[in-house]
Amino acid sequence: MLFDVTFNPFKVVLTQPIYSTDDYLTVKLHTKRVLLEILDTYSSESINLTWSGGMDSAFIGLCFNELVEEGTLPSSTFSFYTARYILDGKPCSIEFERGIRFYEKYINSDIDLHIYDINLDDKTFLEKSCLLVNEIRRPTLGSLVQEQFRRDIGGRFIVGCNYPYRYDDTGLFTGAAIDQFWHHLPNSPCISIFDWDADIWSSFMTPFFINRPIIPYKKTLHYDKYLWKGMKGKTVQYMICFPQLFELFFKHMTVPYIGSVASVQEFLEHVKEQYMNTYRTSIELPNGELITSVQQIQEYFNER
Amino acid sequence: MKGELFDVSFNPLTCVLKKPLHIAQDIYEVKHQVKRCLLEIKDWADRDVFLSWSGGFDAAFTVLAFLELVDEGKLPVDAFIIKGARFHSKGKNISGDWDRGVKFLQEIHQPGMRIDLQDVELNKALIKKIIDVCFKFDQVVFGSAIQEAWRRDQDEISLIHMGFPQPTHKKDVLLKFRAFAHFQVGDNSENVNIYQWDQHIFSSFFTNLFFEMPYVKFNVDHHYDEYLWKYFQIQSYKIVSFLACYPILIKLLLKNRTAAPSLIEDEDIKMLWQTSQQRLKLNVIKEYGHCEVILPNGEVVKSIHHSQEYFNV
Repeated sequence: MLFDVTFNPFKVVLTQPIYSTDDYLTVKLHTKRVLLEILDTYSSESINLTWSGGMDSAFIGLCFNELVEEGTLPSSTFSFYTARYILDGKPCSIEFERGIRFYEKYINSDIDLHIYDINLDDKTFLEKSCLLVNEIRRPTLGSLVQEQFRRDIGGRFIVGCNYPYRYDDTGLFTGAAIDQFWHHLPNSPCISIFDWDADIWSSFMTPFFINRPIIPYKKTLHYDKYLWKGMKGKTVQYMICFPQLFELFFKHMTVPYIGSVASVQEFLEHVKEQYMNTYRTSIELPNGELITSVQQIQEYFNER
Repeated sequence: MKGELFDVSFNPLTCVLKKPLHIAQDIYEVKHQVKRCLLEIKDWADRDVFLSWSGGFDAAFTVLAFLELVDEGKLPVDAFIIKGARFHSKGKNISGDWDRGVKFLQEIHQPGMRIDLQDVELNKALIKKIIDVCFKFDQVVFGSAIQEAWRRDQDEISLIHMGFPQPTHKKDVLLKFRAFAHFQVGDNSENVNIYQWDQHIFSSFFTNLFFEMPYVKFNVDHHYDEYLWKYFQIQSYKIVSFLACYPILIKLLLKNRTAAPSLIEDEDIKMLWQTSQQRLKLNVIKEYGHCEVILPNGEVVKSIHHSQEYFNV
């Protein structure tokens, strides 16, 4: 495992050296490689892909699609599963329909897509989802319902939710959020692709990721907070690999703060305040040092 | 001023390609080409050249390339002036990106840099010049016209960055331009357009992103703001490439209007522009018109390969 993870308190330790790359396309090569390795590793189990209509699942989907088109894998290797979240009788995420149109346009029609309607007015499902907070203190309904959906389906799911992220300029990986590490929980069905090994994680270590300053949202310049939050290094990188992903630009919420779930979101916001310091951390070296550069990582591991 | 890539004439707008184009090696090529052209322009110019500064991506990209040449010892830090105008009306700033751009410039500042940032009141005389620009080029875009009107009052040669290739999303049409893409054209122009300096810099925009990014129609639910989306629709391939070359440019994302007439505070001036705009719209027929770029034999340039075939590359 690339990381040693503990949850109480939340702590993430890098266990292997990583490196940087100038080639923005490397992430595609490694994603395809890791898909094949996951298949070898979990050959006896049912493995699926998720489709949310967002950039991460579409990127992984396009990589799988390319493996199918190249003849490396049969189209039946994985199926996609997606949830259409319904609120007050209507789909609540505008990303869903856009995502389905994208799927139909770019993904080989021989690959199965299973669409489930998930009613967020269903208190049982909502309660189950919210109770996941006890396992992993990530108080965002969007992420909780997606994990619950995966658990309800059964089998294993390849997910792309753990990627290098900088929350501020104090370190290189300051934005490690607890729900990016679902796959370290014994009950989780997730197989995380982007931290599968040091090579794929390193493929995100581009000049843009390393050198970009973190600019706080400013209403007069950045139009919308969620839009600005979505301007991540990986978004640029994904589009370089698959320009068609421009169709999924800009990002929107999986479960917006509307209707009957608004109060749940507000409650979770309250939880968020309570656990502010426990759901996000900075990835550190085994000696406890905060990681600030790729060079520091290499120096640390070279000395051993 | 100098420019050998296109033959351009106005009324009606025509643009003839004079050199073969090619595909860019990678997303970094544009940086190497901008640096090369800066060196060549410096050699070519018979007097001072200023890098036109608006606080936008293109201006900042050129300045960053210039500073890289300074760091490499290829140019002195005072080789170019960095010059721009903050337009205001009764003290109110009408340039949306200006303040952020000034802050950016302060952050990358090096001792010895020549920077000239001017405060320009939007008065009747300036409006008249803007209208002249619109009539001359047969096009009405306030933000572009006000900058050109201001540049005409400067003593030095101005280095502009306009007329980069834009995806047409039309079969067998590689390029189309609006008139304002060619502010460097004409005997009296004091502009040199770096993006059209030669076929090599122009071709450096032809990355796979240029060809493969799809056309996505503005959707108010997904795209927040029409101006913002239009900007991404046309320039996203370039933005991605620029960010890869200089990640610090994230500080200038997302674009706001260069100069917004809606922000004009002076009611008389606002009225003058609005009435002038009506007159312009009646007279300037091709307000948002484009011309398709053609070869010397009159054929529309269909593709890079087509340009190479014609010029026997």
